Amino acid sequence: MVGGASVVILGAGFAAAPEAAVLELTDPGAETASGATDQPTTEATAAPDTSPVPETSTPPDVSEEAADGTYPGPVVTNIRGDYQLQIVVVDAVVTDVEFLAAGTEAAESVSINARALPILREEILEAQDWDVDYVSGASFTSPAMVESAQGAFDDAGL
Amino acid sequence: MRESLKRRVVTAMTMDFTLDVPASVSDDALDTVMPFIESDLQWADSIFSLYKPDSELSRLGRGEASIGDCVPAVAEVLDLCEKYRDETGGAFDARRPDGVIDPTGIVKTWAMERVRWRFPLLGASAWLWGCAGDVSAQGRPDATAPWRVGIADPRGTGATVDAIELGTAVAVATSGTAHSGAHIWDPRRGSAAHHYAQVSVAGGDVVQCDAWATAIMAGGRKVALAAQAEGLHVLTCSAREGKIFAERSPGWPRIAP
Repeated sequence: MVGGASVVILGAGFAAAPEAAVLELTDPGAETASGATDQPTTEATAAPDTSPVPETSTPPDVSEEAADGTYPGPVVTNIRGDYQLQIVVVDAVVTDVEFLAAGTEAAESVSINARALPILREEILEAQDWDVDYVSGASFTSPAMVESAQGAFDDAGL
Repeated sequence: MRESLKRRVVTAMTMDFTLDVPASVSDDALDTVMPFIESDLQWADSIFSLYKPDSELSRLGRGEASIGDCVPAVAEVLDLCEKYRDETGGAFDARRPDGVIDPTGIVKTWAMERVRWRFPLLGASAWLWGCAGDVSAQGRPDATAPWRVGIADPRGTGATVDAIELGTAVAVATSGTAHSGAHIWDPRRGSAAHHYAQVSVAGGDVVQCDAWATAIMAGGRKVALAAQAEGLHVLTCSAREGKIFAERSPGWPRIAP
């Protein structure tokens, strides 16, 4: 990943603003990412004769796929505490977003975070053996209800 | 089931309602209170069932009665339906395509919440109250662990594909098509919904969780994202190629397996 390609945009649809809500993550780790150490050096030797300020950093090269890996974002601090998240990229697709720090742990803060950052992580679940008190499944699991529904379908000739 | 618990089951609306309490709760207290809980639930069914032609809701649907003629609970439930239709941006909608108002999507959880005031009469420090996928809880079952709720395999295999603990979220509702075919109408598309096989929502109020789980089944991913603005946690499941593809909100209170 080149130094300029430091902005990752995640689409995050949101009912209050169905089309517009977009989450932007800057990725300062890209400049110092391991394996990319050659590049800043190259730029440094080429840069002195031109502009010393890297304001004109190259735009993201869309044809170049992001390397697989975990990309932490910067720590952003506000009155509620520190916020930081990281993304996991596999085959140029963001496969997970993790909150490394999200303000205080207070429920109110979590709720506010949810308000600000609606997102869904994708994954594949396997059947596993948990020790649970209750199982939440789709409604109408009662045998009586199945029987009743079957009767209704029979009555309807279906 | 933990050895430190007692379970009682009552039946209403052709469904089983289960109450788990610490084993320290006396059988006498349970024997006294549970029949009242059962009759409360059966009363709600007699008012709201659309399968019973003489229920108040059936009469309302046929235009034989006005809301003013019905018991106040009818207006209360219809108000709740409107509240959640508004909150979910129209994705939860109790109006059927044929114009009949069908609040049965939340009547069950509304009735579950309505009997909660009786639980303190048991002298229980903790309880777990569930019916067909919807569950709410209070306290902790013992000193070492919170209440734990599994999420059923949406394919109806009887397996559990995920599990959460109830802490800040004290209620979970799951909506899906596993056992009944497509039964959730998408009011905006005008067709049966096929976004997900199953949706679970965790939060503080089982009626709200129930309404949102139904809304996400009907409205899909956009509604699942919107649920988070209400402070709710979401797990969606789709079954493809023999696998369960899931999405979860960052706050989904999963237990490590």
